[in-house]
Amino acid sequence: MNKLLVVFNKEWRDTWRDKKSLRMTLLVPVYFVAVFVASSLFAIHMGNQSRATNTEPIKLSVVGADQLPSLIDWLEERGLKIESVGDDAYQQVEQARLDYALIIPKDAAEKFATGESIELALVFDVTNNKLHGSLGFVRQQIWSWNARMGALRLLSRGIAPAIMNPVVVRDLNIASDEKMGFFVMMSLPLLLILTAFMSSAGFTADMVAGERERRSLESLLITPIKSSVFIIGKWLNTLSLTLIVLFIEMILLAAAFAYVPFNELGLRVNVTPLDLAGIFLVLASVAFMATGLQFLISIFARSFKDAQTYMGLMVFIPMVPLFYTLFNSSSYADWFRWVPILGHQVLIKDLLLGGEAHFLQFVQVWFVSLLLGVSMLWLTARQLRKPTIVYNAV
Amino acid sequence: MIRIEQLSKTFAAKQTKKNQFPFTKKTSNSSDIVALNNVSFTLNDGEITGLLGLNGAGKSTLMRLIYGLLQPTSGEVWVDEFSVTRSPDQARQQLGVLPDDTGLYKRLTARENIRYFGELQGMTGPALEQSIEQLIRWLGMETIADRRAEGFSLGERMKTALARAIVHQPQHVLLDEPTNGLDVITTRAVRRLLHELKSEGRGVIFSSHLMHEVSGLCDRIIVIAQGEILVDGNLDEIKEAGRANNLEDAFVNLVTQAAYKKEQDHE
Repeated sequence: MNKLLVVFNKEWRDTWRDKKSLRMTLLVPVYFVAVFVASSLFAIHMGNQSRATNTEPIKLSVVGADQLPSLIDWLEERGLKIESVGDDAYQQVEQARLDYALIIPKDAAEKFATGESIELALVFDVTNNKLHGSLGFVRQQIWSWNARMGALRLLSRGIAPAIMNPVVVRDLNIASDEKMGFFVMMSLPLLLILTAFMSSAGFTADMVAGERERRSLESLLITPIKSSVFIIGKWLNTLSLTLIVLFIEMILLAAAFAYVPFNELGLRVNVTPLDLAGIFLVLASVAFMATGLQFLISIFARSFKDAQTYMGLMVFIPMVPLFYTLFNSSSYADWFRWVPILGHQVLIKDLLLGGEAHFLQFVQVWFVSLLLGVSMLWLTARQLRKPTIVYNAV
Repeated sequence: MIRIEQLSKTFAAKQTKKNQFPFTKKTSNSSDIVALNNVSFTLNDGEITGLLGLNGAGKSTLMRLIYGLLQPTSGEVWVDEFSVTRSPDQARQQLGVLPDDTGLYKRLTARENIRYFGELQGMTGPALEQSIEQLIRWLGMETIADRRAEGFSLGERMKTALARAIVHQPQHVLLDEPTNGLDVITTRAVRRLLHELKSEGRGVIFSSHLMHEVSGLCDRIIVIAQGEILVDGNLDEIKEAGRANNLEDAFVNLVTQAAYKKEQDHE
């Protein structure tokens, strides 16, 4: 225990004297929270803007508008702004002078009178992303006019129009502002878990691979100290540092939730300090496991630079489950909670989005983290005195 | 007392051609490198022993086997009553070692570097501080003691590393080329230190390529070549065995003879 303190104290002093790395590490939470706030504000702004453009009337260029006045009236009634264009509408769309156009054939009036089908042409460029919304609306209005006309014709022949429609689909879209908040909040667990994973990786690299690089490992191992004491003493440093970084991040996040007017901007956020404390508890377990992994990776690196390269690849480990849930946001199964990172993420998401989190779920993630963290540290300690590690030889 | 009994060490030669599954047991192979072959001797307290040998003769391997960071293929090393293989921690407590690669913690001062190792050896309080003071005085480190190790010259680094290695006042001191590349003042300081240790009744073994260093300092010289001990005795005995008037000539004669004999054996 005493020796553990000796190792810890030495590394702690060493860490706090490395001012440059320390500054970089302590800036991580500031940077992440700033990115989160900025991207949320940007997303909210974009959302508001697209809603604003929706209220403007949609323009529709029509060729041969005089052929089907009843359709044109219907469309105008539905809020479309009709503009007549010449016969070269097709070419104009092709040359991108028009976004899209409706072409009514010359014999339309005649066919309409006799009850024949009229072929209307909607000209557009499918690669033009910005018109999907308005195009859908135009098409929908034409269909509904079509259905109405059909129904009227059936009625005039004494047939109930319902016979044409065995089913009717009514869309009930419940997406709202809260949904927006959901997507913004989805990105937060990723940022938080990344902080827990990476913030002190540089110090681990220095403490473990650095000993090999500066050739101090051999002298160190000649002292009568157990490998486990060295590893744990050093690891406690990294863990403490990660916890400090995470704590700062929680404080900044609490400040962001309190002072940035997310609610006024249409993002409903309801994260209490208790929720944040819960998140901190989950992140601490991530840190426990992640720092263990950092040690295991660093022990195999011959130099600080080597270690940093390996750690760079390590970032992809938390990315895998996070990406999975990003693309399958609704998927959930009970076994998720047993999967490292995925389980942590689920619990953080629950806490952020106001879901219920039980005590046992915390026990669950801590159990997984302790198991993995301890076994990784044990493996690291076993490697430490191997000649391959000390002398780069067999 | 350090007793070395029939110590051998072979290293597996690195294979470049043969594919081997990572989990299969490696079979021993004729191209294994024999670094030490059946070496036995005893190092006495109050004696300075020099270890002479060409590069790759097995000096560093022998040192590493004594402080237990390498495991012997066969044989045993005893440090006082402790076996290095069976109770490495107790054995290491009796040893002060300056390995050939020795890095300092550059963000700690020289004094803090020394203190850290003293604490790792289980020393605390006034006893530790007193020991650090004494070493700083002996090695003439007063001006650098409270400077951070970053930017230390080779001599300053070596002095710090040496002080760090023996801060716990071990009974046995092992030094791998301690005066390599040092200026004359620093070399004198190290020499003075070795005499000081000897007069306190401690055993010192050091390896070196500097003949005048060895002949001036050592009570006993061990010449090692191709993993075997060629001669073990005082300066006069070595000169006699090598049929020369000075140590350098004697040493060259001995190792070339050994190499010649080995070649003949192979044929």
